[in-house]
Amino acid sequence: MDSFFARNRLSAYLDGALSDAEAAEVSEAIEHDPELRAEFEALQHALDLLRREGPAEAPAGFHARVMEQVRDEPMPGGVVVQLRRVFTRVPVEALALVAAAAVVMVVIGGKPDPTDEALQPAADLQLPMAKSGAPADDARGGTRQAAAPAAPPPPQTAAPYGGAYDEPVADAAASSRPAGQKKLVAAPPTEPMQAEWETQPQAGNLAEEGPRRKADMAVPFGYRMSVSDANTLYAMGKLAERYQGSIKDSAGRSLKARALSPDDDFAQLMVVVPKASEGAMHGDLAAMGGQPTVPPPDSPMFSAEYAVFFVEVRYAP
Amino acid sequence: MTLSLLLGTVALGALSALAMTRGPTDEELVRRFNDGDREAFSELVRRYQDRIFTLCLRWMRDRSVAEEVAQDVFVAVYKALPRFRGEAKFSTWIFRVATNHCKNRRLYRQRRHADQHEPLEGTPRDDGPSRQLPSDNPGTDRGAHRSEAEKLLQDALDTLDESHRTIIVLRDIEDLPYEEIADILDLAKGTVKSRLHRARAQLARSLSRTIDKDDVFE
Repeated sequence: MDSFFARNRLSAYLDGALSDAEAAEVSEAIEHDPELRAEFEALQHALDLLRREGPAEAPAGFHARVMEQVRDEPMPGGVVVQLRRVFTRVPVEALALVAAAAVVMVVIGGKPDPTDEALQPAADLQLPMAKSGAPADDARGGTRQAAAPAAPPPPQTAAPYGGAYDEPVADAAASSRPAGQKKLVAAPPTEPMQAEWETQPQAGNLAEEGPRRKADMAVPFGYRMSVSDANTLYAMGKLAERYQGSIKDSAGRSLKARALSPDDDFAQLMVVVPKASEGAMHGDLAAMGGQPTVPPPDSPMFSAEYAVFFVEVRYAP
Repeated sequence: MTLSLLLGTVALGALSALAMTRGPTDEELVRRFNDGDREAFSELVRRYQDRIFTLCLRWMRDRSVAEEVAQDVFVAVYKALPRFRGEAKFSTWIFRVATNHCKNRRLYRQRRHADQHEPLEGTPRDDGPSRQLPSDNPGTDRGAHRSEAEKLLQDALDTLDESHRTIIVLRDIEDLPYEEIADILDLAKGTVKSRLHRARAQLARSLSRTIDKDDVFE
């Protein structure tokens, strides 16, 4: 083995990761080449130092502090997991049967009447909050995470950190929805604001709104993150799509995801997902390195049926 | 026949004793947590706190910041665990979460400090003079010597680019095998090997510029 090949195998040699034959050749090369020997020794010294330092110990009380931080978090092992298990045990054939029955019912029942008062978006948006009476003016940002409801099981594996996506996904949910589905109460809320809120007066600071209006509106959460992945906006879109939500620009318009670059290294967007996915979304944003912050007071308003995350992304490759 | 039965019983007994001594696996703890057992998460924290803190410390170098990031990692893990489906080992998954957290936090801090035109604390200067470590001879402060060695090591690690630093921390500090590092970083095993080689070589060069080897490695 010549010195060039031996040099490229020094690291594996130190790890004992070479075959016996290769290790013997590297050993011989080290013996005969002073320059290679010096390099080997320098590597060995560096590794000795690294390994001598070894692992550090977590500070005293670290465990207790972590447990304190998650004390008020909803216990993920409750109803959510049970439901998920029940759901995963249902055979595919049974699901297909239910889907077929639903199709038959739609065909027999015809198209839903858009004038049906029960299916009007405005009624749909306001009724749940009027019933729940959830306070809309409690603390913003991360402090509200404790009150977040448990998340439903996502339809696919949720990686702790989104990878790169090679196509825009922001409008994928909308484009795949059949025409007319938007007004169905039973359908998942995929487009939370545009048509509904265009008829409302432009909302300003929540604190200036009347009590009924406040109760109808989602209080946005703020996150900021610094990312090295240029495709983070695609990942956000994919994430929102997973929860039947979407991403919006800071004015509340549908946002077309784009790749970030050194020349375009800052983005403000809103991730809007159904309220039921609020807890899961907090987890996902935190897993992407999001830090809770206070959202801008004049961010667009959404129905309280949705959880709204105002995210500032800074790209730092 | 009797002898083989006896041997079989003894082997089974030994295996169960071993399993009891080792305690539940990570995957068992994850399952128990997802069934509603908060204590299982507590055990996972206990099991990984030192390793995750070490990883964060090598990335952030400041102990208080490292602790903060490590806590964030565990909170994120707590929230994301219900969606962990066990397709990768738990250790792989938690290291991936931790690595991403560290990268993002470090970039955030770098950007913030760059905006303020201030260097990140402890950032080594490339043109700085070589430093001599305190003597490790009897009668001198061994703790001070180790502390200085650790600082120089940390400085050298800081000179590496992100991908090289990550791989060194995972392999040489966390002692993870190539295969697991490949899974964490989503790289081919061959890429891990070659990148590790380059990273170590760079680290060695960096250390040799700043450390009097006879002093440190004696």
